[in-house]
Amino acid sequence: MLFFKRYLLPRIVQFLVVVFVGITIVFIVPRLTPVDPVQQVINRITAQGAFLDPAAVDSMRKSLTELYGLEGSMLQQYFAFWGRLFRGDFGPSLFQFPIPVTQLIMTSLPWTAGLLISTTLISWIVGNLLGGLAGYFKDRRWAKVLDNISMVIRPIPYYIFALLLLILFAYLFPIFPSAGGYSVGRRIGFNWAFISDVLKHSFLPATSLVVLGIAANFMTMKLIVSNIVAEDYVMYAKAGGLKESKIAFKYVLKNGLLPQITGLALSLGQIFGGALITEIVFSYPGIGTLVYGAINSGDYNLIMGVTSLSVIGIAGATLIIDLLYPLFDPRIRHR
Amino acid sequence: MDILKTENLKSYYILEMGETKKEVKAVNDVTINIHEDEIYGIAGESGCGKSTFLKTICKLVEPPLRMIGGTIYYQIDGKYVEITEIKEEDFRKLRWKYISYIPQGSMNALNPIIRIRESFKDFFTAHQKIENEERDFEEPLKKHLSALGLPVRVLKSYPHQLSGGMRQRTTIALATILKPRIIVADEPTTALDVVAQRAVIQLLKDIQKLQKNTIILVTHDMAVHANITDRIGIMYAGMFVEEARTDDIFENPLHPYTKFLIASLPKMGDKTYKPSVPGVPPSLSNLPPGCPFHPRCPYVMDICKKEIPQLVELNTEHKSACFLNSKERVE
Repeated sequence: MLFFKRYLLPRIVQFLVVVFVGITIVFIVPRLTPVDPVQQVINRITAQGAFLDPAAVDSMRKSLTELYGLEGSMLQQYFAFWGRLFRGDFGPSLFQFPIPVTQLIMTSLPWTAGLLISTTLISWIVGNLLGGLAGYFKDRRWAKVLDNISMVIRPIPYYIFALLLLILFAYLFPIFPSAGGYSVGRRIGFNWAFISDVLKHSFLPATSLVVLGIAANFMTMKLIVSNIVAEDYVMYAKAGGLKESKIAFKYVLKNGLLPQITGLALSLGQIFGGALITEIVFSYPGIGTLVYGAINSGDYNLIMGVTSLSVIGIAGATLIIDLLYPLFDPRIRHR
Repeated sequence: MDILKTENLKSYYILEMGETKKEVKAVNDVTINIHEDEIYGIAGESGCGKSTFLKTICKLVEPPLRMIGGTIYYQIDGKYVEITEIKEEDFRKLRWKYISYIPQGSMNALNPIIRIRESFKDFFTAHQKIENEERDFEEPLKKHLSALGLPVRVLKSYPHQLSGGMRQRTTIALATILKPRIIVADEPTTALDVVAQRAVIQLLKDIQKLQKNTIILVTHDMAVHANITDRIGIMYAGMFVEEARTDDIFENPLHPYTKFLIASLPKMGDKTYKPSVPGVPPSLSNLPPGCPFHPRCPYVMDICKKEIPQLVELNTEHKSACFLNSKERVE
């Protein structure tokens, strides 16, 4: 009970406040942009050459505004927005009307989640392991080679690296498909033909994320470890004649991973935001592509849907890591 | 018989910054003998090479520190063994069983994320097989702790749950669990209050009495030296300038630096002004020619500026490295 009151409750309150403030900002910001979704639709219709008399335009604007949930003052819209949110409804997409936003997100989310969860985990595990070992055995040949490689890869801007992969392995040597999540015309189903097709399509985007992710984790971990090897307890373990492998894993790596755990949780929380550049470069059908289109077309509801999910995702990840952290570091207590 | 001796030991920190190469002569030509079953104290001001000397004799030399020259012998079963010739893996087996090390600021010497029992186990299994958990590990461990007057409950704790003094004593218990022949302690009482200091000193004394091993103790606290050590070596600028039995040093210091050091100690009832050594210690990367102490020495002579005095025995077991003393002898 004391645990609940002293530790859990403040963190849950904090979580709720972050979500509330975040979603409020999400509500306000799109309304400050000059893009008016109602005007967007009217423009589209008039651009197709149809003649509309002003009265028809007016009534159309009125009904569209009502349809989109944009009638009334900001405050009324705001309350209506929260009301819908509690029912898990972000309203219809304005651009792909009348498909509900939730349905659009649910179609895109598995693609992004599959790609990002696997690549984030792989690059975290591999990067930290290599970085930790290279930091501990920093005078070994392989450590120096790895260090040089990551030093070259790390500063490459992500979009250039992604484009490079695309040009090399989809255009010059067409080993992998250049776009999409699966071949056009293939039926979605749980069978090997479909899965292998998906893996083939996601190989390049995954590689681009994993390679840069490993390099980033490698360098951070190597830096952390270079501080830890100077700690007294590592020196003491050496003086005590402990085996190198034991010192490396139990004394150095284990301590070095503590700050990295927070990083992992945050990047997993960010999955709901999608991998914007990756998905655009590889035309991958995930959340990133979805939100990119939404921003271009002024699709308020869709933007708000995706961003709200992202806010909840990150705040949720922070909350979970806060609760789990004492398991990893005994110095942090549930007080 | 000597348990450990060094001959002309030199270890420098070699710092390379682009073109310029800097040598910090932290241990500069040290020849000393440490006897079996004694507590040998090393005193000297901060940055005079005390800790570096300890690291070198424990073979804990890591870049930028490098052992430049000289030899270190351990006496193992009556034979002197040159330790720089021992392979790293074989030396690993000597650690803790033959020589153990209590690091400076050993408040942080324990892995913060594992329980103390786990630390003990890690150090124990590095050298001895545990076949029966209870018989081979728990029993001797509990015996060892109670012999040193430490409560068994510390084993269940994490390091941060213990007080500084307790942590230090645990570290010492951990360093002595395999009854090493030599215990090297680098300022074990620094950063502790006097009560905890006393407990630590008493612990070291008890261990020495119990295990009949040699303790090499570094501290700049002369009171600790007076209390516990049998012999003292005084270090200045990487060299040993004087070495004698502890009471000898306090009663009859020979080297001018030691004289200043002893004169600076407050005595009961004595309210006179205590003069400090004039000047500042020299930079170890840019030592003055001749005796390193000559710029601060009130008795400086011409020869001091040109030649480095050797550590020579003047009285029984009393050595000093000063032309003032050796000259008196010669003439």
